[in-house]
Amino acid sequence: MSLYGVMRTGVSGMNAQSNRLATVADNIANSSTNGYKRASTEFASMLINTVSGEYTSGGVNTRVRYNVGEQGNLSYTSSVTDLGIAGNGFMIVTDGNGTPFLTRAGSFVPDGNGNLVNAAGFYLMGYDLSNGAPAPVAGGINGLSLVNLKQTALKATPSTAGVFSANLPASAAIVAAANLPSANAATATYTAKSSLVTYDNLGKEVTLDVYYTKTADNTWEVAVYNKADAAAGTNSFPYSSAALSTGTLDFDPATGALTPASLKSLTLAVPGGATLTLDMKGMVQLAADYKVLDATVNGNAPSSVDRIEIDNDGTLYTVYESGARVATFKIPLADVPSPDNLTALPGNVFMPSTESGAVQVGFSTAGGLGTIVSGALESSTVDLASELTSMIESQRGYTANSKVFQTGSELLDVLVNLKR
Amino acid sequence: MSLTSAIRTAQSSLHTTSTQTAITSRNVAGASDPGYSRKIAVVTTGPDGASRMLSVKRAADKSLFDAMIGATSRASGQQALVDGLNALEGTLGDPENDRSPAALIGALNDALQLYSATPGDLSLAQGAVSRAKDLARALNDATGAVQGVRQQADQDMASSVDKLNGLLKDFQSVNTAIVVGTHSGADVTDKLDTRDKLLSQISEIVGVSMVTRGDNSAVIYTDSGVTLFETTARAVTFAPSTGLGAAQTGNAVYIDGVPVTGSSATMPIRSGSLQGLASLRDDATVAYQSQLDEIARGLINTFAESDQGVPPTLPDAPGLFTYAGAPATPGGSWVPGLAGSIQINANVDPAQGGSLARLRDGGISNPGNPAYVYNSTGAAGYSARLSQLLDKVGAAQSFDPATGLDASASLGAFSAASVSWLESERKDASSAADYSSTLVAHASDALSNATGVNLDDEMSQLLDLEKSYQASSKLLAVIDEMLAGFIAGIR
Amino acid sequence: MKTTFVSTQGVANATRRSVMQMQSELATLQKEVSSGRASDVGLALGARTGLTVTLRKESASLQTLMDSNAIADLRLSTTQDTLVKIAGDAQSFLNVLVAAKSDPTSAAGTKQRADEMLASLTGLLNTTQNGEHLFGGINTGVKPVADYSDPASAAKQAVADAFLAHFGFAQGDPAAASITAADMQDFLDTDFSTLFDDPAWSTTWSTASDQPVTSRISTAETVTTSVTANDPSMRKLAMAYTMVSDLGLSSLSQAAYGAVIDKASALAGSVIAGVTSTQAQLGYAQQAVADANSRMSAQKDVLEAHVGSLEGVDPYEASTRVNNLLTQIETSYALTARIQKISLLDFLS
Repeated sequence: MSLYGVMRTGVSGMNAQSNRLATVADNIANSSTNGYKRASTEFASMLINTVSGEYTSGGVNTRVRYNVGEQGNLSYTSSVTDLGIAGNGFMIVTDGNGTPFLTRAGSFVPDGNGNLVNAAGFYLMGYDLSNGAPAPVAGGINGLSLVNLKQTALKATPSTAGVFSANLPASAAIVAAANLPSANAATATYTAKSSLVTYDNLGKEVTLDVYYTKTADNTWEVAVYNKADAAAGTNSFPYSSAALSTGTLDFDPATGALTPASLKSLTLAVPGGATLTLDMKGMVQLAADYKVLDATVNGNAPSSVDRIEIDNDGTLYTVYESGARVATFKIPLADVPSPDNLTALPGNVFMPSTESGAVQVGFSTAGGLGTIVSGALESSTVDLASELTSMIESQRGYTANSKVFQTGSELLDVLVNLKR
Repeated sequence: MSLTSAIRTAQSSLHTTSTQTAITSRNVAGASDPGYSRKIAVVTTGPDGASRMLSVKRAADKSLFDAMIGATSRASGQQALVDGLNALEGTLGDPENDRSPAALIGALNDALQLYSATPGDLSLAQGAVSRAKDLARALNDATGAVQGVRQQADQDMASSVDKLNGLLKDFQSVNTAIVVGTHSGADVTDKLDTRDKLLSQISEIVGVSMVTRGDNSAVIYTDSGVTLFETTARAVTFAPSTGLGAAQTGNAVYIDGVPVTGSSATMPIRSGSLQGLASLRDDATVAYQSQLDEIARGLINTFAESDQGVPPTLPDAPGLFTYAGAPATPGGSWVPGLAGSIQINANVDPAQGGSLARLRDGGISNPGNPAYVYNSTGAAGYSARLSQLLDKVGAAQSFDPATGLDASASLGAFSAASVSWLESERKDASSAADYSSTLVAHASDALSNATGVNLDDEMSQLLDLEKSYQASSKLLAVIDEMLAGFIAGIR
Repeated sequence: MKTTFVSTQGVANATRRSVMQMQSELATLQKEVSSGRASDVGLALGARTGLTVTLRKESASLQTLMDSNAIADLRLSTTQDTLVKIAGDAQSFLNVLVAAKSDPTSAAGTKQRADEMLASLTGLLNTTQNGEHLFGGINTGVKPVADYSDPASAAKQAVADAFLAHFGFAQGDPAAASITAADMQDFLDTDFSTLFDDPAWSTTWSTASDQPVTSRISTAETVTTSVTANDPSMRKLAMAYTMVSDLGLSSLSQAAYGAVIDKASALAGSVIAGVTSTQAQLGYAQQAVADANSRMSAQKDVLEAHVGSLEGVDPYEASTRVNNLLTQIETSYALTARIQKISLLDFLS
């Protein structure tokens, strides 16, 4: 036993309490920092081997922990590029030097180059979907690039697929073969006509005239022409070029639906564009008026970016003024086996360490990872009330430790005065 | 759970409540707009317990809306027809006023009867000629009125088509905005209201049906299935006619290159003002004109003079009533526009240098040719020709069956049948229009009840919101007090 | 819990629309009450409008026929009056002849009476009414008989020529005393009589048409409504007057004188019978006109009643409906005012 030991133990206790107070100060200072994870202090006792009848005081060892795995409240904002994570996982960001970090601070805004950067100056990384579907590498961050909003300025998509379903009037008159629209004669007659807007490779609108003509009971001819080729005047026939595609629809008189052997889809080359497959399996022939039930074609005209939008699964869509939306980036989430052991670095970012384990990259809503919430920010996990409680606690602890030191010092005084 | 998260939750509640209040105030502002639909805030609970307003929905009822635009189309089509038929009815007037061709034929008959009683009295002949003049003028006026109605209908069709094209253009811009907004999750409810309003305006012109696709974009088809709008507006074209003659048919309206009105229509539309106007222009007025023309033809033929030689060698020639094709008679079938050119023969009209006595004696067609003179002695009391005319007016003759009336009837009966035809068309159209406008009223009431705003309801919701706002702010105040207590405790 | 939702506008529209509808109905009813007819006959009757037009037309035609029948009737009664006078003249002439036969010395006086009678007959046959010569047949525009006493009279000249041709001397010649009764009889039956038959009669005596005036007195009936101056009775009477007046009675022998008077008496006698039968025919025509008129008048009443029942409305029913409507509108006003007054706003502080 040693009085010096008592005094050193008191000093060790005061040190530990001041460490704790420091984390409380940091926590209170960052109580409004988005993505901040509360720091806490854990103490470990240090005992010196004792023999019976004699006690030698040890000390206390301080360890600062970041409670990284704690979920912060999501507070909602009006910016779509503000990203919060509900659940496990981190966004992968990089600093100016290209070093990857993990973060949950998602208040991203595009910088002058169109790269998304957060308040601490870290750039968001994601998979560029123009290079094909992403293949996340477990434990690696290869293939990631900066998420850039600028590279998607003007874009046109040619039409490739469409759906057309309608009811053809079963009681319509039969048209003679010579007058069918497919013959492209001036005398052409038809039962019904619809038109569809499609887009060529340059995004130019190409309107297709679709003619349905009854050729025999339960048999209909479908002929598709390019409207631009229509003859001037009252009747559009004859078109200046032949039909883009023709086909025969056979209906089952028992059900009014297409027979199994009948044509189910029409394939045609959009002038100046891609090959369009028009799905017609929904066509029916009932004793009712001609009525279009569904008519949809994909593709869009060239238009500039109107806004972007980020889905729950991390897909970043570019929405064009035409209304079309195109997936351009996929934002991954990363996780480590022990998030609390991540090394905290300035700017609310974390580095994997040996304690934390290796980084695993995956996608939002899958594989135990959380959900990316667009238009939300994860608030600081600091709770003022508990910090204040800790503060009072450490204040009292410090005082108590100083009393121990003071008592030891007084005892030494007594010892010194014995010598007189 | 901590005090801080309690503050955050209370804060989000304040935010949600204020947004809901904004929506309530939008509803109150739109309460008197017939096209406004009630907006509903969709509030969800977030993963951490905070409430969050995700989107704005609107009260909508597709089947009621479809019923409303369908009724609107039918009502406006029938109203157009009724308006036109009412204008045509002006050619008849109240039966009390005896202004219809039928009544004037009766008046002419009576004047002839009176004259035949005293054939020597030329003042009575003057009376008969005046009645004949009235009749010819009435037929001319009626033709003018019918052609005026047709021309007006043609012009109305042209302006309807212009309006339709304008509406479709607006529709396109609203539809694009809705598609963009739907993709980005923006609040498009007001735009949907605008689009519905545009659609109901379009439905006044042409009967339509709307199909909504996955991205909230709309496709409009006419009630006959012609594409009117799909991603882009389709062209609606119509060439108005300048000066639509009785024998001339008006042009058809084309939608997307398909004729939708007239006899050559491949996919004819069935409702809307365009259909009403086209049916007025191509059916009702043409049928009525053919009846007037047949009355005129009957008059010319009835009063025609025949060769009195034995045996007769010369053809019949128009007598009291004549027309542009004289000296030939108009033959046995419909001559389009004849009622517009029928007139009194100048040879019997003293005002034009004719002689009244020719009505009694004959020779109106050609005073220089004695073959057509019935009263060769010139006796003042000669009434045989007048009696013959009276008999012929009362006798059945054949009319063109294309008029839709009895093909064999006396002039009087035919003209009375024409009155009946027009009034019956008018009555049918009028009661149909009354019925469909009642339907429109009911449908829009039903729609308004389903999607409209009830101010009292909004007010009571506002009370709820006020309470929840007060509770949230109270919560904030309490938490603040608690923290303050804490801080005061640190010395 | 499902409650039925009612929009504020739905509530407002319901009251507004019902008031509007009732007001427009009120306007229509007011018009119907004041006129007693449907406010829009065409709309009310539809396909039956042609019927009311036809009925009105027929009614007007019947009125016209009755008007024209009045003219015919006037013509018939004037003709009757004239015929009565003609028959009266013939009767008194017959009396004169009976007296004269027994007293040849009164020849001059008898001639005098015959002259007067002839002038009277001419005057009666030239009777006009409303500018029409009643005895002109259909040739109503021309005076049917010329004045015999006029020296230029073609009829008088023809008699003189016939006398000269038959006897070789003129009337009143002293040689006339030598004419035997048989000679005179022969002259009167042949040459003289021929003068009063066609074609001589139409060229010398009468410009009247043989064709009497006919009138349509109803839609189906046509009757003769005049007697022409060419009627056999008129010719015989003219012949009787002329032979006494212009054959130089006083210069004739007793026997020839007797023959002339006998012939004239016989003619006058047959004329009285003839005129009576003509009068009877006219009487039938008058009866037919009167019958037609009463028939048409009844028909017209029926037609007008029918028109009234087609176009008219029951004024009592209409005014009852007006009263009901007024009550309804007032209720509606009160309701509207109250509904508009209720608002939750009034209870929010």
